[in-house]
Amino acid sequence: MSCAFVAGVGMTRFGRFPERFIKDIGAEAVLEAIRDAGVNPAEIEVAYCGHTRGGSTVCQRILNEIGISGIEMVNMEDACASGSAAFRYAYLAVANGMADVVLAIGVEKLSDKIKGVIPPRKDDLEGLFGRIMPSVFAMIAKRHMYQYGTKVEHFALVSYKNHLNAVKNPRAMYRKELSVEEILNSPVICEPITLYQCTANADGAAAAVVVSERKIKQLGKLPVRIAASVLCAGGARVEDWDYTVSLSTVNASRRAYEEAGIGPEDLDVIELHDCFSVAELVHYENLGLCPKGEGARFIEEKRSYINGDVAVNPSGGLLSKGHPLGATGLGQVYEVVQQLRGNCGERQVENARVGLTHTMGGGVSGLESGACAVHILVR
Amino acid sequence: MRVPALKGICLYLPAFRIEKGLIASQYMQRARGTRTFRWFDEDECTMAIEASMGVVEGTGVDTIGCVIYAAEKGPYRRKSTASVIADVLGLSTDTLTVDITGSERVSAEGLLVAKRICEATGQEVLVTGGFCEHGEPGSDEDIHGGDAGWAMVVGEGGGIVLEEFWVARANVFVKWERGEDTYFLPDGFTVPFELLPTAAAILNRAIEKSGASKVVIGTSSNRLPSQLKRKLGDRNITLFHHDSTTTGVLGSASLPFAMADAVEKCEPGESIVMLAPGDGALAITAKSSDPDNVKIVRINAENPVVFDLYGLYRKIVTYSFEEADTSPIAYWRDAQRIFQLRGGKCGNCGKVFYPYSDLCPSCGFTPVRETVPLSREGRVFTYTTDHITPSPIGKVTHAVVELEGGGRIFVQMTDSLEEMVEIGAPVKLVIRRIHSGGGIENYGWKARMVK
Repeated sequence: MSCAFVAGVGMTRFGRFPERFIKDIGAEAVLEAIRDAGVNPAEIEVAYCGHTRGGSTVCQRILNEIGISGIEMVNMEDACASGSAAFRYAYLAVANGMADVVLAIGVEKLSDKIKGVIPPRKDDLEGLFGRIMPSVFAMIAKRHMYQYGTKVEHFALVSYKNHLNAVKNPRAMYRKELSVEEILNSPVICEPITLYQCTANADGAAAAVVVSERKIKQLGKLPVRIAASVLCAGGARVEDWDYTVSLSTVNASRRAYEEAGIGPEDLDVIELHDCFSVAELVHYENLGLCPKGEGARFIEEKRSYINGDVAVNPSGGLLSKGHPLGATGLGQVYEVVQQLRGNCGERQVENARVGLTHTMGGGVSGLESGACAVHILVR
Repeated sequence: MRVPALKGICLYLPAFRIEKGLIASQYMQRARGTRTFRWFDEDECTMAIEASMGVVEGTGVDTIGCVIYAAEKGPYRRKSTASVIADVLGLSTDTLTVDITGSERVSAEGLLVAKRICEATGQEVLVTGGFCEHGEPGSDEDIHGGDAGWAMVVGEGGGIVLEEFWVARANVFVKWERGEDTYFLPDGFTVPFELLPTAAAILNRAIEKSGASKVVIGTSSNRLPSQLKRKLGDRNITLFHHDSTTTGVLGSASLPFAMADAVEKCEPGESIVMLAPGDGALAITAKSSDPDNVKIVRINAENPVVFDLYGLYRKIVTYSFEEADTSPIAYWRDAQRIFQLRGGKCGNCGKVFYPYSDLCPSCGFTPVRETVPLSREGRVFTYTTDHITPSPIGKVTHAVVELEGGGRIFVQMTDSLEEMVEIGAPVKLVIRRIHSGGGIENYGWKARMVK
């Protein structure tokens, strides 16, 4: 396999845009990515689009808005990891020599579809029994508290840090600093998770132009190389599974580290799937940033802050940047690429060289998650 | 010649009570005692299931060849409730399932059919039913009604042999209305005049024939037994009926409740007459051969939770589930693994998982040939209280339960207002309503704390 590079990225602000069509939201991000890459739209050979609730042929509708038609277009769904799946397939198309210029799009418009929590699927056994996503993570939190003595304040600290980061991100949905007290005193969703420890449904889009080595040289851009790309389904929740471990995150990240030839200690910036505060805390452990059971200490010692050991979710993460399901994965790629290029202004991670994105998606009976995608980007 | 006899009785009351006086006082009335009421996810079917599972506990279901659901009404308009119960018990699909509905004497009718089936086939028969009565706010049903489930097993070798029966229709035209139970006899209300002569006539005949010294009357009314007693002359008869003071009127469930009391006080060789009034009356005579051989199980008979909020009580008993997008086909396809609570057990690594799958999710792609029944008892592995899922009490507790003997299951907790749940707490799985949708009631497993 040959190398693949991110030549350009684009992203809308995440928020609620009831007045805009999904194709308009998508087109804004795509145009920015194409301009950023400096490629001619006619050079795009393949386009992958990740979304969960956009209906049929979203990719075609978005690109038709811009004036791109006739090329290979694929729409993909992998719940919240849909955008990351699109990015992976763009990577594969280039790395396998299938194309030189490939577009990956992630887009979602939830404001007219879902209010509040995503309703459980009644054709899934656990969905039938009433499982909702916050309850799953709340039960993980309870286990973490039980096994490792983690306190509710630790979970709130994660949310505090991410809200603090989002203040400096003009594209984030919520740009308000919250105190730990405010976070803990917000309405309880699923104990111990409170409202300000939950991600918010959002509208938005993000896109990336993935190109070959030959093309990136021709474009003369700072090369951001995709050093690893892993996508896997969630692991089975067998009877002895430790709830505080995300098997898919552990597997995907270990494979990605191996593929990229690095270790977690080499990472400068991480955008991870903090759909709920507890998720980020356990993913510190799952990604190998700290030993098992020490997630609470990791956040307490501010090691995941922008100027800590490794900046986790400098964009504000899903918690404050917003979570337009299909767009989230590419939103993470956008942030990491901008961090590696040094374009992030106030929230810039100093001399960021290696970045990782981690997206999880969906809930299926008997699986600890639906999908998990890990990408490592290197400047 | 086969001898069908009563082998077991299980009586189920919901865990909750409310003072009748509290309800009555909202409507400038008076009443004394308490009534039972079902939790928002219970109905006639789930209470019958609770009792059925109670009556077969320890003895198993292998010998049961027929399930009869006998109650005034069932939850479905066009589906057999007995089939749902047979599914939950894990009975094979060739098990005979029968629903009998109608008047307050329906539990006795169920017993009678059970006796006939046992005589004809030698199979054990499970007869079960549930009763719920709430009516309009302020109605007699609201104040004096009660909720209960019951189950009885009839088979050879039981302790109380079922003998003869007499049935009589009312001898005058009975007032009836669509959808209304005219035989709802709250304590202190007059007995419909046409009922007494009919009931007394067949009761006298049954006593004469059997020489019974005990009469079990299937009513929760305190008035009817005393009126009947007067019609029996100077015979030395002990009357048993279900006293509605603490439970409320239990309709057709009154008979099994009274029967359990009588069996407990019965001597070997004694005869009992069961009299079930309702659209006339039905009498069954029974002879006690070995009353200690009748298993009697009572669930929630003691330490009920007593409510002091009328509004919340009404909210709970009238709660209707959010219409959910569901498909009966998908639901029934899953019925086996949902109702029968069977998990997979890997022949290679020995791990138990739920729901079962064709290949072992743990050790890779080993084919799983075996499904195993999972235990209904377990301990809370993790839990959370969810404040956004709709519920009449404003919250729902979810839990992952580690089952005894292996397997984990994700369920909602039920039967509780207080937060008593903690990691490691012992729980028991029960069948409850999960949601309604597409015109069907969906049942599934929930867990309740073991006190």
